[in-house]
Amino acid sequence: MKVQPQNTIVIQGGHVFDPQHSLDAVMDIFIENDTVVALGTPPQGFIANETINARGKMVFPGFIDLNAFLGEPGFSQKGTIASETRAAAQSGITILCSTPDSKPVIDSATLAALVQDKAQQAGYCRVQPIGALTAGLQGEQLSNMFALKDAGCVALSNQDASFQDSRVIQQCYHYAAGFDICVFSTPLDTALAHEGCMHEGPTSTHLGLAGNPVSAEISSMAQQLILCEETGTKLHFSRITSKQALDMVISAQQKGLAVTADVALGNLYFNDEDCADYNSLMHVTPVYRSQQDRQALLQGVNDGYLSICSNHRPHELAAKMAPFAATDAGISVLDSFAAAIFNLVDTGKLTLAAAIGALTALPAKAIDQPAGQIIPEGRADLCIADMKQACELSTEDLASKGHNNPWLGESLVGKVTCTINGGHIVYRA
Amino acid sequence: MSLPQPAALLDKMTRDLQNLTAQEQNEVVMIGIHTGGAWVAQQLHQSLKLDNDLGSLDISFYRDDFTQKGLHPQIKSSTLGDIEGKTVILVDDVIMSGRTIRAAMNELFDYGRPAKIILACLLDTGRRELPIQADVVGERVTLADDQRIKLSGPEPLALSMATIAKQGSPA
Amino acid sequence: MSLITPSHIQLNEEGRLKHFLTTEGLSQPLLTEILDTADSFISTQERNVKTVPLLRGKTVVNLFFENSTRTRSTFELAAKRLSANILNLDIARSATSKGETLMDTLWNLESMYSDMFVVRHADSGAAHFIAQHITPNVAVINAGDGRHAHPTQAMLDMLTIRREKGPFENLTVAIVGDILHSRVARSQIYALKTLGSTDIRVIGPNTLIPKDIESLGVRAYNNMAQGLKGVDVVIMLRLQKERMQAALLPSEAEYYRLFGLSTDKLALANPGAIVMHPGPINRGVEIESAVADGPQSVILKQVSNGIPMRMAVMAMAMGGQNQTRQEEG
Repeated sequence: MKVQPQNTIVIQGGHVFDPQHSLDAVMDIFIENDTVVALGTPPQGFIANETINARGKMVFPGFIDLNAFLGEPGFSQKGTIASETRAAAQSGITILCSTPDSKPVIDSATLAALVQDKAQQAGYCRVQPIGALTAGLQGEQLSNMFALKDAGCVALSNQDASFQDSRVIQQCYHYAAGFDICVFSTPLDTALAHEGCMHEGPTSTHLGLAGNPVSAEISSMAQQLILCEETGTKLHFSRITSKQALDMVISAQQKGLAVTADVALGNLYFNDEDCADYNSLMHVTPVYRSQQDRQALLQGVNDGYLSICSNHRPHELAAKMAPFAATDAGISVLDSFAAAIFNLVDTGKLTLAAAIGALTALPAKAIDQPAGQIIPEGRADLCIADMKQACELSTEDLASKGHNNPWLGESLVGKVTCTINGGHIVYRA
Repeated sequence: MSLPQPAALLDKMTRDLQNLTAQEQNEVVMIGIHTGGAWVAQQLHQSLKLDNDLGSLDISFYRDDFTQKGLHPQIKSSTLGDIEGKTVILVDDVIMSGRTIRAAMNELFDYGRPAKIILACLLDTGRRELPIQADVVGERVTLADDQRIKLSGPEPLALSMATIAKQGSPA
Repeated sequence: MSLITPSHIQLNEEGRLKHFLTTEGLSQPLLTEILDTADSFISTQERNVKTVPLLRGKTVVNLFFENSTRTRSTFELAAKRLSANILNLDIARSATSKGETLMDTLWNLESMYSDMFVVRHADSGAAHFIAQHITPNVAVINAGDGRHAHPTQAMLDMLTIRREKGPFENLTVAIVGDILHSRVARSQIYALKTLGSTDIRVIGPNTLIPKDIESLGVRAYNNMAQGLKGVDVVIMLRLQKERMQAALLPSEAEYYRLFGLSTDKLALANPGAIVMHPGPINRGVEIESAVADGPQSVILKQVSNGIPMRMAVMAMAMGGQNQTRQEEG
């Protein structure tokens, strides 16, 4: 006798869109417990406990965010796993990759497990942590890479910390490759970056701010590509900023290297000229570069080369209330993540297929997970969105503890109205 | 009302000043208040054939309405010779509330201590707000509340009447 | 998103100065008015009583987060000559060195009911930040922020140039030295451009010239002989000794040989060219003593123009704040 499932949902009349699986039509979706059991026609004897009316709306696979700082453990005034994953869920995110630079750093299995457990308790989205590539993120000694992978880390990175020297990078890649561990890298030659808090260009000259040149990113990327080829590592460049970096990723892929890349949402919206009034909301790591770089990165997403990550970094008010260079770098993104990307589609900067691909199939590939898809027998991670609804967020609407959100007060077209994580409705507008 | 001719007024002022200073023991020095007073002073300085160089005073830094109006956009330089122990003939084009003259006297005393100040004005329109009077006046005129009289120059000097909006009164 | 740059927030609704943060973005008439006002204050400095009553009853606070006895004392004197009360806060030595944030320092100062802050800070954009976050109706005068701007110095330099050489339209000006780290140079360049100079040059080694300097409307020269040809005004910048350690310059000797203003090099400029320096000068490092003390040098005139210029901008900014406060009732 078939055991009646405890939780059954039907999503009715939504326009289901998963370009990876050639899904682009209005159809119903049937969910039992944590699985999508059917698309289009209900299975025999299916009875829905819950019906979601999705007429006039789009249904996408749940989004995957490859880089978000949650604040916990260690920085509770900036954010907690509960608050930040709640913000993520409101943007349709069902898998979130947390950064290793908490306090303490995620360089042990216990801490990796802690983060996942807390996320599960909060229940808003799954957190698949990125562990530290070096012990303490000091850039000197290998971390317990295998243990971290075993404890659930989908990738390892040194986040924004530097390495002692290139040999350490090489050894890390070599070791990781041996265990099929994915390495996330944000390439930057710290000496060439010269403590630049923004892109080196006419704006930095005019503002009198120390500038970080493109050469700092691409010279490091060039070195890491060579090491990647030499060691056979699965390498993902996290948050690239320049046209030249994108071109190098494309050449590497054409050469057959297992290299992927993503761009932070902010770099698709802003460029160095937006710093012209010393607005501390434009102080970010990695930096916003020129208009041309921004256009190239948008094209890179449209051509299917780049995932989009949030690069979410919430801060308390005081951390952003100081002259530009003295503020903490970072913006709070998760509350506006989906709306801002939908807005880029609405204004014609991105195609819908490219945008959704950049949030689902591409990031899933980068972390080698069966996710970001709507398939029968697949996990019920979905989001429903009203692509026509315009919405403007104010401080009171934010779920994230960080109010350093540059889209506050901006009218964005497109909004997630419902998010389902493993068959649970974790957000409903 | 018909406005007087400056030339006639200047003649009268010259005669009056000659009379006033006839017995003057101290050295006489003439100082005109920018901008209109300086133009008038230029004419008087010539007609009186004064020895000492003509001085000019810009009162922008001594006005009493800085708190309300801020700093005047067109400030000219003040150029004075030594006034210590001298008789100063202070010249302005129009005296109305008396505030300009108060400011001018405050400023003069920051340059030195004159023995005497004689005030000569082309026109006196009444409407004093301070107890200050001119010793030599070209002509007294009465204006309606919303009327103002203006001197243009330096060559030729001419008087004109203007109607002002409700608020704001130039000193 | 619209930008609220330092150029924007320093003007009130009537287009009058209510802060003085940067020379950039100010119109030619306004810059000329600043020069004219300063000229008027020069005559007050030559008489017996050097004060005017403009700022009587007002409190001016010198907020210096970077040490500078010279600049601070000229502002102090300027405030006193405007009849203001002046308070000197050397923050470098007080609370912020104990870790108090800039915001907390500002909030503590609010209770003192000051009318004007004169601010010098090591971070570019600091004066702009302070102007945005203090109580309204307090004027902020930028006495130098990081590498961004030093507008009062630039304007006293403009005043000196105008008094010595006349109108800016036909003047060729060269700024020599460490442009990269110089807030004075940036402020001078914006002022010169707006006032009408069409040939502005920067001279120095590549390592001391910012990468996109041409975007400011100047031409860069590595060769001083070429750079000085046809020049009417030579502005020498101070070279800090630390630059020798930071992989920017090989040695003082090589720097002096290539970019030091010696009598020979000065002869390459136009006859009657004036020599300027914002001070303090490093004799024998960027400038030969004979030139610094010579007939073409107007360095001391710059110093004496400093007080009238600071009086002018303080009076204008306070005036602009007064206007705004009146309008707001």
